Amino acid sequence: MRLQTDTKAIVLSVLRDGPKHGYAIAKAVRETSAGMLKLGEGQLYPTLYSLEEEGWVVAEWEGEETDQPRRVYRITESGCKELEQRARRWHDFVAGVNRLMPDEPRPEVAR
Amino acid sequence: MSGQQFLAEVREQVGHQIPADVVESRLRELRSHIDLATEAYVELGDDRVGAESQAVRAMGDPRLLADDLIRQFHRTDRASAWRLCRWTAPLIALIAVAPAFLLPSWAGLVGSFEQIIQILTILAVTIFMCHVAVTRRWLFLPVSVWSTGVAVLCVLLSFLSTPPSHPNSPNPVFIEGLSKERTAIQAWQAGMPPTSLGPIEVPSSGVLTLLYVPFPIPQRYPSSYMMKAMTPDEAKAAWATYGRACAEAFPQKEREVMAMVEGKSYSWPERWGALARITLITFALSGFVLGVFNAMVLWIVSRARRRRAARITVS
Repeated sequence: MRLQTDTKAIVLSVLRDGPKHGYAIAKAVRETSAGMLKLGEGQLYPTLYSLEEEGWVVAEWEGEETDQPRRVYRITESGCKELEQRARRWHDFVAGVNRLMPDEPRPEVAR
Repeated sequence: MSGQQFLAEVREQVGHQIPADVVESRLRELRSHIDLATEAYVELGDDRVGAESQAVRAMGDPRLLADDLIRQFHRTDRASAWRLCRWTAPLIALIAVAPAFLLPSWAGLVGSFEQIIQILTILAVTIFMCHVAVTRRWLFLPVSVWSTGVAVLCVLLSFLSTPPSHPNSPNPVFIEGLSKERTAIQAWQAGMPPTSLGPIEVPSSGVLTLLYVPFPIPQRYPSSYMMKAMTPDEAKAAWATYGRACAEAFPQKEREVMAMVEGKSYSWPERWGALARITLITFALSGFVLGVFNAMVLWIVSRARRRRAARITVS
């Protein structure tokens, strides 16, 4: 099944646990969702730049003196507020769907 | 594909659409990501070449990535549709109303007035579709509003340029057309070749325009008649085919044209009613047509992208 989700909310949510670089964000999404969510890693970066432009995250290069410099992202206060709003909308949506769904998948549909 | 090739492809696709220093910063970050991912795959037991290949594959299609980077940089993905259309919407609107301002002789350049309208309509819709394909946004509303606005402006200008009580003055284009047609019909009835070898009018079922618009529209072009510039041979052939019909239709047509050019005037209530009709029809028609094309392009583009995209998916 392929579903489009709120990528920005997911990225903000991962960053709420602490500053991370792009690869770590993609890894965190994969691991935290136990492999259910797979982030198209290339598409992660335009999302991060949008978040940065909105002022919801800030970024800075770290380890520039090493051969593996990384751009680390940190969630801002306005980013936290945005995440709260998006999370609320998401939970409302899920609650609505849950009310419609049966508790257990039924093996056969009664005719 | 190696990491280097991937980054080269992204750089090529981005071209000069993003400033060089920004591109370098983006590529540096992508390079760092690919290196980290490669290390992770190596730790899992892959050889370096295979690991790098896997890391690059996880990045998705470089063309899509470049496209997203460009969209993100230029704010195409989140700017308002009105701002995105600030150049194309007026352009499309002007192209759409351009036929009203064309000189009759220009119709001869491509064949007929109707062909000019068709060509300009296709041009306007093509520009609109290209813009939708590039921005991947719903743009039909601003374009419809602009088109309606420009159409209304043209009509308002015509209102302002003529007082309501002012009778129509004889229109040289109509009078000359009638005169030529009368001469041509007489020649045809006498079994002689028609003398009308320039632009001739072929009667159509169009209703004479309700509005008296002295501003260029009727003075330059009687829009309810299909005009065509013909060669002598074409004119002969046309008269052979349409001669009888023209001769039969001519008295009625003459009455209609003369009624229009001799003294009929329109009051302000009539004008405002006509303006309201034009506004509604233009907005509804352009909104519907452009909305359909907008939806079509978005559907095609999203399907094309979905095949190549590696977004967040639920497995």
